[in-house]
Amino acid sequence: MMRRGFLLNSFVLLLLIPMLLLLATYEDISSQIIQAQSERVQAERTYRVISYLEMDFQKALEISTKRALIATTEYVATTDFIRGEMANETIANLILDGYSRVGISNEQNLKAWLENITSSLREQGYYVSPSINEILNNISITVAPLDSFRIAVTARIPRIRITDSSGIVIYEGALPQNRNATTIISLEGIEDAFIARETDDFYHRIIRACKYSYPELVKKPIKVLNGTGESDIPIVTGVYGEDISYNATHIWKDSSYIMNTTIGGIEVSPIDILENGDVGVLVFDLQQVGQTSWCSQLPYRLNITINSPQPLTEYQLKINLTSVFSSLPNPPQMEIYYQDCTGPLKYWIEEWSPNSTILWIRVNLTAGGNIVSLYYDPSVVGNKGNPNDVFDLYEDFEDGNLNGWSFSGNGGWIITTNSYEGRYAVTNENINPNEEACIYKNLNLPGESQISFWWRLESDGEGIFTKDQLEFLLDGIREKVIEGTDYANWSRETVIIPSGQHRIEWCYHEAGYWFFGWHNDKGNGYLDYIIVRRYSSTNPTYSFSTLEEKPSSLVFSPARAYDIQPFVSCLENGYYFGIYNAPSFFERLEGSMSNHEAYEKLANETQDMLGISYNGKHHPIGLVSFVLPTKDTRLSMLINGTGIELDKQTCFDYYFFKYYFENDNTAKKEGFKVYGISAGDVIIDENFFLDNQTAVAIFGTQGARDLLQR
Amino acid sequence: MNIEDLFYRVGELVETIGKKIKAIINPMPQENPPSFKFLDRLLIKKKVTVHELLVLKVQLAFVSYLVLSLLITVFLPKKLYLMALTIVYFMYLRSIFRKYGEFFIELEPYQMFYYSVSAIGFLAFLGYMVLKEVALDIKYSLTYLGVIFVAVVIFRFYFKSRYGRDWTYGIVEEIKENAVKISVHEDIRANVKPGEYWVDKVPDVEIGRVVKVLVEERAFRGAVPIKIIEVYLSDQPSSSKASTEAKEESETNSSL
Repeated sequence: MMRRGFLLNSFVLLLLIPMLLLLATYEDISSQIIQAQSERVQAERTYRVISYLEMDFQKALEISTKRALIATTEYVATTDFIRGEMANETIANLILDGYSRVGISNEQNLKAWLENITSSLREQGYYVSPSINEILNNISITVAPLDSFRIAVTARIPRIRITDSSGIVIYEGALPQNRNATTIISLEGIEDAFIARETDDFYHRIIRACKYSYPELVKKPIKVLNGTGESDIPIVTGVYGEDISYNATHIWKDSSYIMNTTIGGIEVSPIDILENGDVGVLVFDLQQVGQTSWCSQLPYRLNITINSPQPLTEYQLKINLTSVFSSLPNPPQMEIYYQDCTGPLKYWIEEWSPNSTILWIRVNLTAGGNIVSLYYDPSVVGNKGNPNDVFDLYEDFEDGNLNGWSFSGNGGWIITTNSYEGRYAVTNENINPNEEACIYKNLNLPGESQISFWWRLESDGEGIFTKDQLEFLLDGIREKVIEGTDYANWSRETVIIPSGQHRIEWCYHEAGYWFFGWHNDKGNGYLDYIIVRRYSSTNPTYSFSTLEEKPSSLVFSPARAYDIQPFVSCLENGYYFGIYNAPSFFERLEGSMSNHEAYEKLANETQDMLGISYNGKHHPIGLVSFVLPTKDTRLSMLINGTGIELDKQTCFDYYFFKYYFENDNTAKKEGFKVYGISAGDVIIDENFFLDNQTAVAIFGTQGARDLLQR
Repeated sequence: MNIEDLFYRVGELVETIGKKIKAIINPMPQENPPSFKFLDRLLIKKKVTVHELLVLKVQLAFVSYLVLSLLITVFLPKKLYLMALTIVYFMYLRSIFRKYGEFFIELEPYQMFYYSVSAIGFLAFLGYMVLKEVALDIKYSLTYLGVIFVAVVIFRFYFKSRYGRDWTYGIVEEIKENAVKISVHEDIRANVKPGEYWVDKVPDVEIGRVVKVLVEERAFRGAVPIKIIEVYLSDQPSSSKASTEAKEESETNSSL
């Protein structure tokens, strides 16, 4: 068989149609698959590039922020506070391009990152537009305090275009795509530049959070057991397991004890809460005895009823106690409280003798009757108190120096033993005829006041046309004058001074005449015993009640047992707390709290954005640590070395350093001793004082009421 | 060359173009078979008739049309292109059938077959393009493919029922003791491909005589002659070109 087989049979011809269609379908499917694969590869490539960029941007932001923080901290610690702009703006500028207006630089920044990433992408065949400077100008960045111990930085490049080598745009849009890049940086481990700056880089403290970092928001650094108890004294301090004992039902020291202990109304055993070695404070609420509370441990008291025609603040009241204490040869140990046991009041005994017993107290009075109680123990000799605590100015020159006084004219003033009271007074240096010597001091008086002083003039009467003069001037205007030989004896003068800033000044004028030479026998003015106190046109009156004796056994109920060791540990280690009324990290870099509200608003917005509010409350941004002025050896050396005299300034670090090291009187914040730390039987640092506002933030209202020695 | 000659030549050119366009639009039957310069070169050593060369030409045209349609569908999927190609192709097909219809052995089945399958092909590719425009999912393409396959099979059965037969004509080429080699033309009705086949010898066969042979259908491979069922002693089947092309014709025939 031999075929001429070049022709196709009809059926094969027919089948060609579906066969070719099948081929078309196959090609179509193939191209679809290839296209899908190509799209996937493109999508993966884009995703890879963008993911890499986003990740790297986030990382660069984090590194730049850390570097900016370090650079700023170093600048503040060694050079100056951030002035002229907010600290977060400074840090934002450093993150962006490494420069700030205050002169700090930072090599690792987003500009450097952009340069690197652009170059790196170019090597891989990708091109970034617009220019780096344009990207930097358009970038949105916010540096905000997130809470006390963290800052949050959010940034976004609003538009960036990435093309490949063939010019195809593989990405155009914001970076990151759908959100801001946010980096949260912990401040723990960073130096507190504020303290370093205040101490000229001598004293350093690293920011570390106390275990109870947010006492206003979460847990307080004290443990409190409520209960009922009995004691002879209102406050008992000690160490658990040493002088304060406890078992499953009782806590006791000597004759004082607490039982029925609860927390939040639930009965708990002291064994489960207290730990041996912890500092403890037992507080017993005074049970009512008669009409009034017994506020002191001292066994006797005298109630003084003061009638004031008008409200008076910080008024110095003079009380004559001669009739009460005529039999006592020496001042007894005494404490003075208001009727509600707040106090103690500041006092000073001016005289103590059978014929004259004069007591001054500094007191707040309402219009009408006010009762203060003078507690005393006649078996113990006490002190006379401190007139400097009582009066706005008390100067008897008994310290033998003229610190705090200034001089003007042709000569100064010097200490002399020719005094009105005590050993010393002051007198002018010798000056020539028609010259003068002045002594003065500036005062800032919060209310209308009265100055009283003793003076005299020693003159030979040589002046014919003029006489030697001693004058008192208020703000440069003569208020009182003595002249000639008429005032050889000490005399007392008083002058009313309105509130505000004033200059009090005494000047001595030397008289003389010329008759073929100067004729004068140099005279002298003398000054002593200056007192400035509040003035009232109508003086309050007072009366005494009968003496009371403390009942032999007092029952105190209810009572509270505090374990303050968590706070003490944080205090001794210099750990930080986060509270609302304290300067944030940025404010510490600025050395000022003037931007506190702005930072708090920014932080609240950031917390809302990130959804990290706590039970609907915003976290605080304030940072506070406390100083132990005596126990902290390095700080103590610094204080002693700079001649700082400690008073009752709070040991809240910000106010402490501002007041003592910057001499900023606006930072003055008087505090109270704290039981278990600076008061009571356990003394960690006798110079530790804490202001009430901060105590309330750290211990709570009840804790502050119980633990501060008022 | 003067102006007159130039105009004369332009006139001739226009007239020639016009004639050619007219010849394309309205082809006239030709008295002489076409020259197959290219095909002759390919098939120089084979015994090929004009009918077979014409069928081959039509087949090549059809296959080319299908391949070009496929290329358009895949690479330039525009219906306009496909229509343009189809118009050109149909004009070409029509011109072949009109000009050289006389040289086909039984023109009508060929005409009907190629016009039909060409129309089916056109509609198949056109439908595919439309389908791609409205539905990209592969399942629609496969379903459409199935529909076209079914349409093709139906047409195949229709064609067979209308024109099909199980026999064809052949010419005795060689005679052995018990076998006869016959030469058969391309016959679309019997679905026989041209060639020479050995069949059993029957009485009265002589070299050059036309015989009627029974064919046997084989799937996808066309039919093959298996048995001589009638020997034409003379040139009887006048309607068949086969008889005219027999080398030596008998004067009588005998049925077996």
